Amino acid sequence: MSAAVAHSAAESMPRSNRMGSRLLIFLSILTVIGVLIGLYLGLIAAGTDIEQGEVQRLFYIHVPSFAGAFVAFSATVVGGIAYLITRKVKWDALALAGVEIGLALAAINLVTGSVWARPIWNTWWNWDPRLTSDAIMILTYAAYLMLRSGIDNVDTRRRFASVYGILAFSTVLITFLIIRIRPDTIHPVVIGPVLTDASMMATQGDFELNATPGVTSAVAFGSAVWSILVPWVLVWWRIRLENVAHRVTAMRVKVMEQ
Amino acid sequence: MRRLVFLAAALLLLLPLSIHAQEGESTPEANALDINANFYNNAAGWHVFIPSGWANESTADYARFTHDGRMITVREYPGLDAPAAAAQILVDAGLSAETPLDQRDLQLSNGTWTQFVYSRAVVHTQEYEGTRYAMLYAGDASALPVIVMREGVLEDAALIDDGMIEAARLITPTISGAATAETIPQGTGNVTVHTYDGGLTAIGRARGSSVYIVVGSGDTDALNSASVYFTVLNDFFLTPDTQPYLFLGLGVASAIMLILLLSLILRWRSLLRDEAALRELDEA
Repeated sequence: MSAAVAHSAAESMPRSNRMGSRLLIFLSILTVIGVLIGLYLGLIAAGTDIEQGEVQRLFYIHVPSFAGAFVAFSATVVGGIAYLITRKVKWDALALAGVEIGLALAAINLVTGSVWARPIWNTWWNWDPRLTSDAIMILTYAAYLMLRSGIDNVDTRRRFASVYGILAFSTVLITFLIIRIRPDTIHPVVIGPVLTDASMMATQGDFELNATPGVTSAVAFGSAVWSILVPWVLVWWRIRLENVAHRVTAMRVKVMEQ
Repeated sequence: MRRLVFLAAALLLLLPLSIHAQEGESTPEANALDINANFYNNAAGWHVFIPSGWANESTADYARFTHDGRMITVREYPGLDAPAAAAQILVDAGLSAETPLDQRDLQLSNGTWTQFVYSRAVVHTQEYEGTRYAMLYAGDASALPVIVMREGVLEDAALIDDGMIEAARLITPTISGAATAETIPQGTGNVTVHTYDGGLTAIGRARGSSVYIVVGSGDTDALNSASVYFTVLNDFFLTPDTQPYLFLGLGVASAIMLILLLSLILRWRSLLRDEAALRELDEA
């Protein structure tokens, strides 16, 4: 990295002010409380699903974690577009943070789905279109981090990452929409109407929301917390980490110049 | 540009609301499946189909449906064996205890059942994880729903006749064969109707490896009406024990989140150490 670029990076990254830190800590505490309330609603308050038993409660983490990953990956798109237009480093930091946090949330989504599938579908994994697209989505974003770290030139790296992050979002959209495009998926439709074709009803399945009390409130609250508080608070912490990294890089260059 | 980014972020934040908004759309789907036609015992983890036209007199602890002097009831008896549970459900239903005319095990799609046939009632019991579940059909001698196992019955129609005669002998042991036999198309399959000397009638239908028979002194309408018990029996569903998978899922999800947080903390500490060292070098 050239000294000029390092200086430029350090100067363009805003230092966290005291107000921002207090707000972040407040939001972090709020997030922990929100997650705990969501777990209470899902694991204790909601009734046991009569068809699936206790494992259905993973639904209260599985669905919200995808909502959180969706928001985090969306932040990468926003950051990528904004960086390509403004060339300000803070947008690149947002894009990177979105990928890291989104990847962790997507992994939670995938693993909880796999564990749920074992007793319900009698398999840990199958190549159902929804599961396959979800796996491709995760691998695409994992490749983002690997490819990004392999480019030495800072400007090239950020430009490449911005374009890649924008294009990679297509895998998120495909994962979200695939159960409405492909007729051969057995993944239940949770958000939106179930396909009305009689043959589809037999294969896709549905959660009998009316049969189990407390499902709607647990899903709604959990999704709100996991898609608003969890990704944004984690992304914010990750951006602050990136700010510190830029500051240290700038200091290292300065010391080396001396 | 800032306004555009702000607007995009605001729209993203509104995304989760779509989950709540669209749940309203799924409700009619659920109603279309008529899921309310089931009796759910959420605490004990089982449910049964409520026969159409039958009065639902269930409580939180047991299911009871009545119609025209007939009763179907489902209860659980922790720790009791099959004969004891069968005797107990008779008493709990207000009937007098009696020695069963027949007792046999049945392998049905929803588990292994023990069937007890009494003079005016039939009981099926099943044991699952220490709890015995018992289902009773009680009425009069006009119609008794009985199941007889016959391997290969779907391929060999003669086995239906054979099973029906065996069921009729449970009530009148002297029966040697059917006086009349007729096969009538009904629904997706056929129903066999037998009449026997002495005024006994039976209707039978093959399903899986069994013959489902209603036998008694009533007419075919009475027998058909009693056959709804088979639907209740086959629809009986026990909630599986999937708790270990819940704990596994929660554990793995927590581990992923911990790894993420730990990674952030360790990298943060490492950078702060580097910053402190560089500052010392800078000042030196």
